[in-house]
Amino acid sequence: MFSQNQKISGRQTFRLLTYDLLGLGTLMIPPFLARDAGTDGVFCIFLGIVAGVLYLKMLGVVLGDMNGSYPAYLEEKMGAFFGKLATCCYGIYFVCLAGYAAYLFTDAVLKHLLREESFYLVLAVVLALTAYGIWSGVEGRARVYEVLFWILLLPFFLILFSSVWDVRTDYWTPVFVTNAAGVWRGTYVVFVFFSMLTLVLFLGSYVQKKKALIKAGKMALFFCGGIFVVLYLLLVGIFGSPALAEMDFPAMIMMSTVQFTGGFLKRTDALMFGIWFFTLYAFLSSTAFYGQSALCHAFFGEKAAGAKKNGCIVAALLAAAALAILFYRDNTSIAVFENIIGYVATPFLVLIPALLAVAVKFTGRGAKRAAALVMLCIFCAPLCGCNTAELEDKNFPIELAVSDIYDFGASFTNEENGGNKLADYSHLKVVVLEQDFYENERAMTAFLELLENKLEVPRNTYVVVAEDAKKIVGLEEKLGQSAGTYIEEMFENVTYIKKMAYPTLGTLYQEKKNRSETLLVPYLVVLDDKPVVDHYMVWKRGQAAGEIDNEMALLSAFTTNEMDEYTLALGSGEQVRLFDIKNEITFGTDKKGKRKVYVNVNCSGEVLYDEDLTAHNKQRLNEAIYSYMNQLARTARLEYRIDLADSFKKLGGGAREWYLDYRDTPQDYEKEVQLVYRGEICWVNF
Amino acid sequence: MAKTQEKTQISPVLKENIEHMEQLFCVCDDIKKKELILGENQDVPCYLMFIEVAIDMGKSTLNGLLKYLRGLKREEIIAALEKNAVGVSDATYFTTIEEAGDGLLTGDVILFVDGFTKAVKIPDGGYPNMGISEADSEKVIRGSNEGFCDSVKQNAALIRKRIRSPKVKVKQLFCGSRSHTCVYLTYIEDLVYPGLLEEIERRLTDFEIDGVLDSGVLEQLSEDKWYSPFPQFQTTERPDRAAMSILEGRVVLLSDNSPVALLLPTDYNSFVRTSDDYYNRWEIATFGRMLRYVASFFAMTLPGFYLALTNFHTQILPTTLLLAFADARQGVPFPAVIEVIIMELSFELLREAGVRLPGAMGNTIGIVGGLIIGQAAVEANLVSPIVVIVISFTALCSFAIPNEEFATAFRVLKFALILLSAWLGYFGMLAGLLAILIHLANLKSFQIPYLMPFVGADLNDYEDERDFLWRLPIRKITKRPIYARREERTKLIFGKKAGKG
Repeated sequence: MFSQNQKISGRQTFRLLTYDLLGLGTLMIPPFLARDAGTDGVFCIFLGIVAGVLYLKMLGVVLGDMNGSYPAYLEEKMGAFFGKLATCCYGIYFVCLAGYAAYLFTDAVLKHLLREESFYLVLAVVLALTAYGIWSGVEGRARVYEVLFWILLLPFFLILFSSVWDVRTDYWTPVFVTNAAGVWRGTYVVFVFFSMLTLVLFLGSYVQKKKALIKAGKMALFFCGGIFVVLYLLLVGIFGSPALAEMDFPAMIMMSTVQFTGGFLKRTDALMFGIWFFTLYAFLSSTAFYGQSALCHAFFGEKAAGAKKNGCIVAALLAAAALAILFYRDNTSIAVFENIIGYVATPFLVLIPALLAVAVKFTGRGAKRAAALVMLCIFCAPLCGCNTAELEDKNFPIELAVSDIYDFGASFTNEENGGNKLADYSHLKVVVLEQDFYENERAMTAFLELLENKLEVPRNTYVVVAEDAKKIVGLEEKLGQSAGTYIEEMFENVTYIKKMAYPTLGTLYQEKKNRSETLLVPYLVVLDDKPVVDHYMVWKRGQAAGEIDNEMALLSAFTTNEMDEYTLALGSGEQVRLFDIKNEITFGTDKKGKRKVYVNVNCSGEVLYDEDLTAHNKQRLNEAIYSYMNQLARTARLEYRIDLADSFKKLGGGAREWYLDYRDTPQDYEKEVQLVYRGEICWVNF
Repeated sequence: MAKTQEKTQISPVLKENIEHMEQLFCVCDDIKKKELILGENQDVPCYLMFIEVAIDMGKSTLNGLLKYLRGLKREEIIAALEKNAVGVSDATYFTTIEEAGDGLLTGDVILFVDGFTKAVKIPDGGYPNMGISEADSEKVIRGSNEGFCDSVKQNAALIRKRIRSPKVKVKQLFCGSRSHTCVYLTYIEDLVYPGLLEEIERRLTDFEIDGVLDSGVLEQLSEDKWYSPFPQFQTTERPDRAAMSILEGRVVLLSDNSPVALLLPTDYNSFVRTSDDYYNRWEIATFGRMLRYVASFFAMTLPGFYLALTNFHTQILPTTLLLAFADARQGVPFPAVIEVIIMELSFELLREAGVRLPGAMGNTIGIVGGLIIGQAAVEANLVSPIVVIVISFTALCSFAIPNEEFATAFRVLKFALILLSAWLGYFGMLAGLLAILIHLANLKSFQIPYLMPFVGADLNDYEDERDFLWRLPIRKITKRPIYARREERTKLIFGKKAGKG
């Protein structure tokens, strides 16, 4: 009755394949690529897409020749024995992938949603859902993804869009620095994920029109490829490629840093986990479904049903569960598995269709024998070689005073902050570090490593330094609100420095690996019973590197466009306000061939408190301002070894030759390269 | 179950017929049995049977008929009856005692005449019923306020009143071996999808039951997945809704003694649509539709979501809001999950009490429960004010769903999601939602995917997407939904084409 709806449509196929590619790809491709190709990873994605298109073309040839199911076609082309063997291999491959997906899914749930829950319980729930999905058939699953498609992707795109403001484009450079082997590895990694498109062969017997299948595959490839490119650029831009390479599930970590305007949702990572919940489920249920179906076909034939089919489903799920538990208990097995996928399974996924495509072109008994022979070679080749606590039973520390690592460890495990309640650090706003602690490299390394593993601690927690951290935290009564909230509001609402200029735990974690930036950590003192910023502590290359006064810090923020407006008093007595700041940094040499970093000042200016503006001229004011800035920058460089423009991270994109010279000796860069301020200020009151 | 009985032919001897009827309806004191003499010469005995309150003797056509027969000779009486020339347009003739018995039970008068081998059913007012009144549920701001009543005939007439076309067909069936409930299948001949009517009839005759007292019984006995909380037949008390469904190519099942019509087949989207969606402008209709979709989601998920947020994923909430939540829970003796369940059950209790009590008292219960008990519970620190807000908002959402049976599905599933969220937080909620989604994806109503047109929109060339989450302007909805037969899906044409049509 009605139209035939036992088979899936082109749109359903596209959405099904997109979900299959998206879940694992968004989680795993960025760190793999950052490791192999760094900032050039984005080109690897493009090359991976090209490889995927070629792969789909090849699959199209096979699909065009296929009449029934893919396993039946394998038997027809390779003979019963090798056909069954190949089907069996596909089955094992999919079941192993299902095990891997189940492990990742459960691991992600435990890390991001249920930190204290049992792995086995979550795994059981996940597999029960998978079983339900498999029993509901391809159409049932296809309908689920068809419904969910935009419901999940629209918020995902919204989050990606919101995270654009956190991107530092300097992290995108340098490009074309990765060697050919790195680019090849990166491209291959991307292709490994796209090789899941092999599913179109198995979908052949389920779709309404075969032509739509390859079209849907291509659309899914381009759609996911586009998302991977955007996501990779965002992740590199936010974390930097060295830090990205070390992260587990960076896309989820990014979600924890993105904040919507208005602050109704403090963190969105838990909510956005829904995307990976459904996409990983899609991947898991697809692989488990095709795994059991291939194995069922190999052992019981095409028309197996009833107990045999159910038996295959149960066996496939048990095998997947066993693998997931193996990965959980023995982490080294994950690397082994990933190598098998890369070196054995992916070539298998390419070679079998390639062989069949050749057979389509050259039909006949000879081709069948040749195919069987190649199959034999392929198979011989490896031989040569429940709930925590109630809301009212929790304590939500807003600020944390840290004076030594042991004290910190104790306070972190509730003894000081929690009292008789469970401490929930998800709302931590400020960490106040005692100066001695901050300057102790070992203590700071241990502190950051400890916190980095505690995903509940927000990455956007501000970090400040004080002589007596507990005194700052103890101001709560006098302030009428918690010191953490006060300091957060001070940074975000009151000061002219943009909030992105203030270091957070996240930027400290990243800088530990990126080692390319100079961070200025506010040093707080108590004035009139209120915390105020007295000066700034410098953090370079993962450790404390002295301190600078407010004047230098403000100039640094002005130089890097991290200020809304900059007021400075000149030696000649004038006070000027610079605003609408859009400075540019360029690299060049002077007449003597000496390397210089030019800060091309681009802003509007206003002379304050001066009734007789005619007494001034723009030229003289500009000279006075640039002289002041150049002098301050020179002092910073010579006395404090600080580059106020924080220009080292821009070298890759702006001065490739310099980058190659200084990439291993950044300290020389800070010592040798002079900062020069120049440009035109657009004066509004002349 | 009832066995097939041999039928007794009506005899020309009245006494035999009287004996049979007396035997059939012995100890039926509500049935009046009268022996009369007709004919000019008072030589024609006859026998009348009727159910006492079903016949209004003062107004009945029976009086006129008897008066007429009293003036005829014996031969003329028989001849008039044979030719159906007794002046009653809707007289029905039965040849067996059993048929005559069934005819009597429809609420009409049965007349036996000596020497005549048939029984005559003379229609009258029929059984008493409430008459047409306003529909209690599915209220609309714009549109007809008429509602279905208990009489299947009146209900069919209400549909005919709206679609005055000879192509509207009404097929009569009887369900229930003892109740003999009259069921009408109403549809438009050239719109209904081939095979659908046969499939409905097959399902209605696939079981044998002693009595069908409401269409709900038929619904439960004929649906595919009896265990699903989601209704697979749509119900309505509104004739305009039923007429609209018939115009879409669906079949309306009217059951005697039930003011609730069943609309077949159906899908998720149909349950969220209301009649005035099509009477109001498209912007308002679209806004209302979206609001109802959101409401249906929150009616199921909000309490669970609250538990997941406050017990597991506090990082999502802004600090001030979180601290306000924590403050509100200070001193509450129950864990949050118990608190939520207690409040939900209290609300369900209030709802149940409100429904069972007479109208005015039902309103009182709402006020007493909602305002007084709620306030007292908060002040006594039995529940936190935020939970009261969450539960009230959830209730509000469930009321916004236009169909009661459909809303009930969400209310029931809400408890499952509460337990899952209390156990596994957001993960539990997602797992629950996924399971529900898989279930819905597999659910069908007469082979129509339940999630049409969110899924399988290609089956009707994506036309149904013009009227789902949003409702495009009426002039843009030119095609019927998937229910209608393919060659008859155009329902609106403009200009020259319209003239041709």
